[in-house]
Amino acid sequence: MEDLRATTVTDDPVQRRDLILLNRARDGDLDAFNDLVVVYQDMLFALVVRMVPDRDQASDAVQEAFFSAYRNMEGFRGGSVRSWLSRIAINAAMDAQRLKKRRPADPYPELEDDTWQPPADASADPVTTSLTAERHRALNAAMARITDDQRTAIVLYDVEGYDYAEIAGMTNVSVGTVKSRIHRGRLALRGLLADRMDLFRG
Amino acid sequence: MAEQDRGSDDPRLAAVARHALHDEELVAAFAADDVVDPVDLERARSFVDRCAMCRELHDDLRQIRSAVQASGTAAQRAASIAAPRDFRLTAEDAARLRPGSPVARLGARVGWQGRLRLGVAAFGRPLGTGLATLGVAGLLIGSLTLSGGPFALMSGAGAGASSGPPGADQTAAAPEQSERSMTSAPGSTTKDSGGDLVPSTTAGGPGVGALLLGGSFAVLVAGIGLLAASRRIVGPISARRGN
Repeated sequence: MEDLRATTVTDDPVQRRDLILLNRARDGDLDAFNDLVVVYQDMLFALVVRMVPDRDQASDAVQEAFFSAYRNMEGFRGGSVRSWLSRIAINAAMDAQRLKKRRPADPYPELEDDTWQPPADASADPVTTSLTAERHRALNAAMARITDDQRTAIVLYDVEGYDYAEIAGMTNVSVGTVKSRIHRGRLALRGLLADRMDLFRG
Repeated sequence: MAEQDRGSDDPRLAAVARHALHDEELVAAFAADDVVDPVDLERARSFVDRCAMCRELHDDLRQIRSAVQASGTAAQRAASIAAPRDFRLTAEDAARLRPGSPVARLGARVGWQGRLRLGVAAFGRPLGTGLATLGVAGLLIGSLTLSGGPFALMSGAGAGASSGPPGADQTAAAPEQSERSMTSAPGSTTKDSGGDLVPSTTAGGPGVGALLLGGSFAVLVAGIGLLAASRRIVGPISARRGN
């Protein structure tokens, strides 16, 4: 029988560690899988909460993502475990968005995670630092108000650095649709930030 | 005074009205360097060059894009944002989520194509032989039926027998119909009932025969295909075992 396991030899110690853990998990070692969970849970939550700004729903989506990863470990075909988990988490986030659409209640609350701010220049003065924080808050609030599709496309493209084709593959739409969502999303952000654009200019 | 105010607003209003006709999504695409078509590119450039509001929009969109990009990737944010709960799986979760039996785990490991290959390797030969045999038998019976042999009578009788329930309906309906016809049109009853029954039983022979031939041919082809597929899959495995 053909061995379908990941045999990719990599020099990256992180990837090597991940592959070892995943292979042990596939052999039934739950602790090895949980080591992967511990390594990546914060990152996946940070990713999903940008797409699903409700923290509870984002948590549920991340939990679902780990369930799905565990269920489909055998389907891993090599490469980066981190990318594989990220894609599963993105799918789980999109499922959560669909669920939200089917059961519309309240719009997403404004993002609460003000704990993270973009890294400020060490020599930045307090005014610049507070301006950066204010800009970050305004942007987060506006991001929570654009459509799920637009937010997903913008987060994946502008923040996470996926290209148009990858996003199209992940979201099952054409590249043209991805571009359109990004452009319309930015236009919507500009509309929502119309009164606060002075924070971003210059 | 009011007229003076209106006069000072007019150029601005005119600019707003002009801008309303401009394609903002094209400007957004231009700001993202996503316009490829030369005609669209020229249009977008002219909007941005000639319309102050388009220019402002273009610059704002670039600023917003930069701000979003600077907002930190998930990996960067993960250094300071802790997940609100522990997502580690419990033993119960694991038992619920993973396929339990070795066969199911093997199935999950090899994917749907592998499962299909395994299925064909295991059941392809007997199933293919059975289907091919059925197909040949069906072809024989079908050809005998069409040529008017003893099977023609059987199929004719079979057609009559197989239409039992409708026939029963007909017989059940017949007395009622004849009662009605006796009062209204006595001559038409015998003609209708006789005319319906005779052609339906005799016409069933060739129809059933052709259907049988077609179906049998399809079954034969499916059986041969399955045998060939099974041979292709099992052959290399046997050869490897032999080596």
